Amino acid sequence: MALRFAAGLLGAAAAALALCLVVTPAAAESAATAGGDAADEAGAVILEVTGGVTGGSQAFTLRRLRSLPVTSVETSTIWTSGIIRFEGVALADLLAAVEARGSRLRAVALNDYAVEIPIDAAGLDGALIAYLADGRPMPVREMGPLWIVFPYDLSARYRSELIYSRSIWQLRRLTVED
Amino acid sequence: MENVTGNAPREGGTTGPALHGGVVAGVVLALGIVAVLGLLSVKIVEELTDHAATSRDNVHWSLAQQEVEYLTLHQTILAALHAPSPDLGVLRRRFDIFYGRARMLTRGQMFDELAAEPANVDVLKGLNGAIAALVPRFDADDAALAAALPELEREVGQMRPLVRAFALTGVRHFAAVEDQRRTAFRKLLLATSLFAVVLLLILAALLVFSIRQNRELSRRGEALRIVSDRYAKAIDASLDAVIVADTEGRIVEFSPAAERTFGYRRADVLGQDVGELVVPPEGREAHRTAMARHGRIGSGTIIDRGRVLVEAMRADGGTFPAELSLATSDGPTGPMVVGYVRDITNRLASQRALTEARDKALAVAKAKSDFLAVMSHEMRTPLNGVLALLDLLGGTALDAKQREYLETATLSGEMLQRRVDDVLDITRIEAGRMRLRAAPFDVADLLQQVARVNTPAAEARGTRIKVRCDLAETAAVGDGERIAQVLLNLVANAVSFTAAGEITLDAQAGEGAGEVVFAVSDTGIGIAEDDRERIFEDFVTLDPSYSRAHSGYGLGLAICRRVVRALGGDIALESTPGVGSRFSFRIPLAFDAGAAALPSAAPSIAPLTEELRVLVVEDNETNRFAVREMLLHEGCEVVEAVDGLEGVEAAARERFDLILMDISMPRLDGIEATRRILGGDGLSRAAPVVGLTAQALPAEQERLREAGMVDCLIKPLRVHALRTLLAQLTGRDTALPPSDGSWLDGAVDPAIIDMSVLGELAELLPAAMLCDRLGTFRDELAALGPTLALPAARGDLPHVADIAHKTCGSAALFGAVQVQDILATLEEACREGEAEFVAPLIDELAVAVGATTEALNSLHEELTTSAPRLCASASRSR
Repeated sequence: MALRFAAGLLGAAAAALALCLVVTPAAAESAATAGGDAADEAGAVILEVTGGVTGGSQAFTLRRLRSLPVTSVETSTIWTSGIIRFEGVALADLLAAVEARGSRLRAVALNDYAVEIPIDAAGLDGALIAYLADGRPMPVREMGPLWIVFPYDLSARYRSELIYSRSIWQLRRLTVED
Repeated sequence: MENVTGNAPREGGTTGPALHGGVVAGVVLALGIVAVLGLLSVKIVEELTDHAATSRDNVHWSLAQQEVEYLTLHQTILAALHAPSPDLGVLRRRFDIFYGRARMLTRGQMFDELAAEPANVDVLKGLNGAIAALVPRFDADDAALAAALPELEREVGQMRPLVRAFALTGVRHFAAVEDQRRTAFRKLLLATSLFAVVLLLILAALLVFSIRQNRELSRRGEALRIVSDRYAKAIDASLDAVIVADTEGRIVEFSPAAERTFGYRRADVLGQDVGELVVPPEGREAHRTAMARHGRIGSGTIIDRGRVLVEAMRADGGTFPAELSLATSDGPTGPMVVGYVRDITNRLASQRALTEARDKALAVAKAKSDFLAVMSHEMRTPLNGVLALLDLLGGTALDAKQREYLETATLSGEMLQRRVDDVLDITRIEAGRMRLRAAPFDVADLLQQVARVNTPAAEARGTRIKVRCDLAETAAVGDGERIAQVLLNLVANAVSFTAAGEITLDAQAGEGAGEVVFAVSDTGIGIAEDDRERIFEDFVTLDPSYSRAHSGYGLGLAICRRVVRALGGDIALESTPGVGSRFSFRIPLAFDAGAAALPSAAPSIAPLTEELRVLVVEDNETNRFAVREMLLHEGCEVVEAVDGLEGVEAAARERFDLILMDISMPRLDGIEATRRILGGDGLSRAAPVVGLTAQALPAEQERLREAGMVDCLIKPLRVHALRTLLAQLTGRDTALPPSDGSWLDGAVDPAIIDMSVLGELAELLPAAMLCDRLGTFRDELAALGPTLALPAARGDLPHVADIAHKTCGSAALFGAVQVQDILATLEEACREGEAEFVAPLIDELAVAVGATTEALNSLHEELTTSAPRLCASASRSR
């Protein structure tokens, strides 16, 4: 039993690492050329990062988000049907970009749903701030524009209630707290 | 567990298999249950993992949140309705959020589960339809949306029951699902627990079994310990040395007795090679071979074969005879060889001593027998001379006094002769050579004769002899002579011990068929009870005063008992001291009315011609010459043959009245020659053959009789004996006055030369011839030493024996008794292979030859000077 688990964990970790490292500038480019409507939206602030970050607060447009290293994940979710290819910026990358200094992250959704994510290896493991689903931006009606997703299919450890509770959609603000 | 059962002692074999099967079944079952439990555990873990890795979000929260989003939307619409300038962006955002959540609920896994319930599908469809209907209003431009706010508020308000119903549906559904899941999980846990309990029970059972097995094992261990202890004590206490070795020959056990026997200490020899320690060097090769063979084929040479005799070696290298018994046995490291060794030095020594004592006793008995035979023979010869001379003396003129002396001397001589004959008789019977001759006789006549013979002696003592015969028939067939001999002895005995009494001689039928009881009763002094058995022993006479008063020399009854036993019966004695004695013997006897008692002549002897023709077969020239001279002197016609073959030819060619046959001859001996003559179809096949032998022993005489000889004459041949023989053949009284050998009296030592023998020879031979012969004999004696020296030195005993035999015959002829004795002894020693006696005897012989030669010289001188008479008579007989 233990062996099976260990093997599973090891495999999952390896796969996650591999996926996280697939950073494709091509994908970023294709998203950037998504048309006029998309260009407008790209100019609007869709995410605020406040608290322990450089300058006390940082606003992210889609464009700025897409300038950050892109990470993609292919997985199903319990809230959707079928396999979806999510593209976005790894939460760790984002926090690095804003030089976040804190122990936990408070994420707030449009409907004021809020959840806390510890800023450590376990908390950041696999977390991706997705802005594209199957190459298309996600409208609010489809859980967009930003959705923190995890590689659920990769391992059972991404299928816990805790992970599901951190899979916050319609993300609006991140606050880095001590 | 396996190990425990595997090491269980073998004696548990009767219950072992069942227990073993139970244990195996238990173990298999336990293992099966462990496997099932493992599977169940996997399932439980998966279930729990599934629980953690739930495929559902917090369902209740999601459904409640849907309602919250609806209410928020509704409130936002209401606020916008009453606001002067409503924020339509916020309103749209609220709708988007509500829409998104509703959309999420109609997709994803949550919906899949909800949709499984048909009722839920309707609720969902209704809700979705309502939401979809709102979309155009929110997607319209701001003016239209603002204008439609009242309707929108109403429409959204109308959705409320739907939203509520959906939320409740979800709650209901998921509660049921959760319940099912919990039930299943409970069942899984229950099953697992059950299996666990069963497993525990099995383990408990195995534990109990294991404890019991353990207890049994220790019990057996204890029993085993006791047995080994007993075994070890048995080894320790064994008087035999016990050595246990493995198949390689290494010593494993060495008992205290072994330590004593071999002189090793146990601690020093353990693990060493048994062959090197206790097998003498010369036996090691055989030991190794035997060990190797045992190892190879499993069954050894002397293993498990009982006791064998071997030579064993002590620590000091000394060897001793041992009795060894080997057995194989299973040891902890393979087969073991257990050896029991007993030092039998003492036993062998006592065996040897016993054997020696027995041999010595036998030798003594034989020596006694031989001595008696020889002595009686030696006594008879001079006795014959004495009696013959007394007879001659009786023919001369004597006065009354002289005649009385003469008669007394004659009686004494005859008594002595009888006793000598008795001794010979005993020797003969002792040797088992007594020959019974069955012949018809009349019992009544026999009794009368016995009585008649003893009557004069009895009457002299005032005693009467009565004869009574109570037999229906008296014509019997048997050895009447022997019966008469016994009766004569008994009656003579009775006469001796009875004064003025009565002696009864009777015969009556015994209890068994053909059995006759002879008895001799007297009214004499009787015999004390203690003496009744003793008197039948050799040389036993009752108290000394007795023997002085009555002449008893102690052999009579001993002979009687021997003869009676030989006849197939036994002798008994009843006696009352002072009243009388009764000797009786019971023997089987055949009765034949038709058989007439014949006079006891020799019926097998052929009718005689007037002048006897005699064939003399004799290889020794001197002997042949002597016999011829004697026969010529008796008026016979003589034909000579020099050996057996010639004798057989002569007997086939001519008819003889008598054949005198020497025994030991070259080419063909006398025994075989006799068989051929009697068994052939020659002219003399019916002639009586009489042996000539120097051997007076019964064995030799018996041998001759078996060959068919009717009698035998003992060498040196005496004129008297020859005359008796011829008289028997012819039935005539041929007795001649005995010769007078007095001319030689006192000339020589009788221990060296028996003058009577030489005297007879002198009577037969012309003096010149005697001188000549004596000369020849002297030369023979002179040559004897050198002739014997070479073969004696070479150890050629048969050759020495031959030479001694040849010269012995000559010595006997000339009466050279001393030389004759030594030569006879020498011959016997050589025949018996007693080489150690040869040299001393030859030395002794040299001395005797010297003395004899000297005696012969003086005789020779005397003959040639003072015996012309002899020469004259000799020439006449020629």
